[in-house]
Amino acid sequence: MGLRDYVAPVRIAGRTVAIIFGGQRRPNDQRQVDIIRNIDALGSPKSSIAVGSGDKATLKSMIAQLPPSSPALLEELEREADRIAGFAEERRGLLKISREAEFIRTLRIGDVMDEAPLDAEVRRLMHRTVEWCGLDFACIFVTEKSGEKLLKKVLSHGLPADVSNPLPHFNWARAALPATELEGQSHEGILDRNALLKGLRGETAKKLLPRVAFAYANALEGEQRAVLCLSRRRDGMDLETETDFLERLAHWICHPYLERRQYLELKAREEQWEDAASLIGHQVRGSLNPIATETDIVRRRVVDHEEWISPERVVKALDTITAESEALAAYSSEALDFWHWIIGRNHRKFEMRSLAELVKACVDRVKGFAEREKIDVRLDPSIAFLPKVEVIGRTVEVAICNILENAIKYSFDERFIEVRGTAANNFVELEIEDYGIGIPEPEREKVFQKRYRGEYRGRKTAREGEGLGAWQAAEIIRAHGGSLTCTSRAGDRQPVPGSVHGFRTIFAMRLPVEQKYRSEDER
Amino acid sequence: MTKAQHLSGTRALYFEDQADKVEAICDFLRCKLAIRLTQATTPKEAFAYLKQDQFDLIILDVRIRDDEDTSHNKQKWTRYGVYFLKELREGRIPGRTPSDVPVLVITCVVSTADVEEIQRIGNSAGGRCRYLEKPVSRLAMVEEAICDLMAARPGSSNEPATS
Repeated sequence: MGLRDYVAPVRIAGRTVAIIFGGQRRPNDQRQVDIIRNIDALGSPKSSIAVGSGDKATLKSMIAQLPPSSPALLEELEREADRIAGFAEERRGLLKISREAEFIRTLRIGDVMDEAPLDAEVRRLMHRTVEWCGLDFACIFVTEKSGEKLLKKVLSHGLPADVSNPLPHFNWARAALPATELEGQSHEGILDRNALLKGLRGETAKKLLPRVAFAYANALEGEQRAVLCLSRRRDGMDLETETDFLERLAHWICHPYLERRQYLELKAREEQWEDAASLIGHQVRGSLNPIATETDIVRRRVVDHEEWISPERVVKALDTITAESEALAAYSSEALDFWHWIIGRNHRKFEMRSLAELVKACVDRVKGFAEREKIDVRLDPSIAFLPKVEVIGRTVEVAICNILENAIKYSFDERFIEVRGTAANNFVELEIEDYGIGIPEPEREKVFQKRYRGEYRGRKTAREGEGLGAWQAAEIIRAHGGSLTCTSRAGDRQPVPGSVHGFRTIFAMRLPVEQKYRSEDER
Repeated sequence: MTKAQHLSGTRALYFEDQADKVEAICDFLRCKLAIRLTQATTPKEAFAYLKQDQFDLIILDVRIRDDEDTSHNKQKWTRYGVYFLKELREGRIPGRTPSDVPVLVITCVVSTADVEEIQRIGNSAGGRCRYLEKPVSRLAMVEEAICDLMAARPGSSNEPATS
């Protein structure tokens, strides 16, 4: 039986002390029972067994931290400490420091941060750790910030098949771990092993629990936390050395893992910003170019009297300048929308807003575009009866506008598009229907992919689409716990490639009225 | 005879996917400089023109969307012009146009690294390349760049530009 189970620091009245009970538990040892009883008597709140692994103080200095009102206990503890110190010294040879250092060097922890697939790298580290330490298994659980949320990722090595499915998981709140105590620390927090193990959940946790002897928790900027559980070592060693070693291993494996995850997340976010900046820059400069060159055409005719430029060409130049200026104005709105979307998505602050007013505002926003394209946007009377919904900032407006603009672009058969809505069972559904180019069955899912552009093109406009509108709309609606779907059915005319087609296409946006009604999958 | 008059009859291919954004430049090239201009808006068109005709000059955008490309590879379409230029200089584009044909790149929002790469590739294999950033504030800049490129051609009666 491993030594560590009966050697543990103690936490009393919020203060940290360490008491290491003897190398072997003797159930009938009255002295041990007395010590535990005395500690309990001190406690308010009641003491608990904890692994105070990060504390580098000696046993005696820890004992010195005990309240002065317990001289008898102090004496007893001092004797115990001396005994354990001697015992630990004897056993220390089990783990040769030189070999440990050598092993750690062979782990090549730095590799975790390179471009190799992260999971494979971490598994490699775990494999080596399990092998070298003679452990039964090792697991890493990684989760996100919110209290009861289950850990999202489990990496394991050496877990037997009967605990692999369903995978065990770790629940931060169940383990009663404070949200911020471990923030930014490696392992200085007090880890109550018993409480910590309560966080181990899942159908197979019962099988797993008895074999978990060590657990480690960590947090990085409140985003993710990890716990590494290692099975008990078969041949045992002294607790202090082993705990130190295992904690360092856990730290070395978990911390780069967390850092790497955060790095990847930041990188993805940075890429989004780069995308946005590049897109906006391209669109703005793309519009500025015809404005500048057409202006030069006008100048050459009016100022330099260049005769190759006809009066009709001047009129055309002026028309282009006007159209591109309007496009620029629209781009600036889109840039703002994108900003609102990013901000809203990252902060997820919900507020109640009238969907009816929101739809009307969106229709107003696309009015200019619709008029230029001679498309009438018809609001069904049902829109006026739509309830308030819980939305993130202006993000839903962005989604609705994107779908409306697409409908205008792709509407050919009729000169109007229809917007209608229904509300039932705590959800609202908004439908935007156009009459023109349909979306073939195989393409219906793809239209929600980033930068996807279908086989058939929409109306030629000054603003070239980037294939982001439907994708962005779907992302936004999904973030609200809703869904965006597309149906398209044949109308009167059969599709003819390269021409206008007779289809009715409906984009249906389904949103929960309040976030508490959102789908469980989206929580 | 002015420098620009020497450009008369020059056969140029303008490869730009958003043709409506460069109408003023195209009209200027055709009507003012009397360049015989062919416009391609997709890679397929560009390759077809290069195969059937011989061009003295290629004007190129960098961010070119290939409508037939279903991979939705952002890296590819945001830098297609660079890829095209490399293929051209390395002689991998079949046709009658020589691989060292002068190239004028007119584009926007390209990183410094990309500009350097464009210059490096464009000026390799005996070819010459000039880069103009959109928005082009004066059409004269296009004229000047083309004159500069064409003057450096073997057999050109123009003196090489010093800029």
